[in-house]
Amino acid sequence: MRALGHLKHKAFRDLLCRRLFAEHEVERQSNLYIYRNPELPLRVRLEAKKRIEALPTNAHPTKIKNRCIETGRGRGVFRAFGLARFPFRLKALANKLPGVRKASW
Amino acid sequence: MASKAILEELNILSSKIFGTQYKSNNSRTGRKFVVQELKGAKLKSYYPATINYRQLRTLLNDKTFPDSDEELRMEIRKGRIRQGKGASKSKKK
Repeated sequence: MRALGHLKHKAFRDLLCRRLFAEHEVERQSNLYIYRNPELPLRVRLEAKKRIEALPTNAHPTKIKNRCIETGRGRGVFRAFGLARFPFRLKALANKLPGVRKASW
Repeated sequence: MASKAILEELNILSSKIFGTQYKSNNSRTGRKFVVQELKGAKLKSYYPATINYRQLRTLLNDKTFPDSDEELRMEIRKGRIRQGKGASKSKKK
């Protein structure tokens, strides 16, 4: 059993971004709707834009990145398993990934 | 060639039948942001939840779970104390 302490520190930042995004999502979407609606007066739209920009920086979805759930590595992550290349290989050879087997022909 | 009025009528009727929003002149509204499915909960649960032995012992109020990392640390600490290289004692006021 492992704690989350084994992840890279940037994975913790990603975790923070995900939590903040989930927290502010409804507010963000509603203000986006107001801002992107050309039928509303311009003042109302600009005020909605200000409210979006006033959200915390880490609450934006562009800050979220899928990292390895084992090591926290940011590149070479398989989306289907959430693992980087090397942990994926280790688990695959240990027969721990369903549907994955070593190629042999 | 169908006239513009008939095409407009067809558009209105189609929106009514399929339950979509009627839109004239290809005007854009921000409706997609309101209709969009919320994905915060899914994104938040990307990393699997984990627990360590200290939290487990605190939760269960039990001491029977051995923490091998902690035991190793205590072993190393005793070894250093035996060599006279342990941590210095804190000053007494």
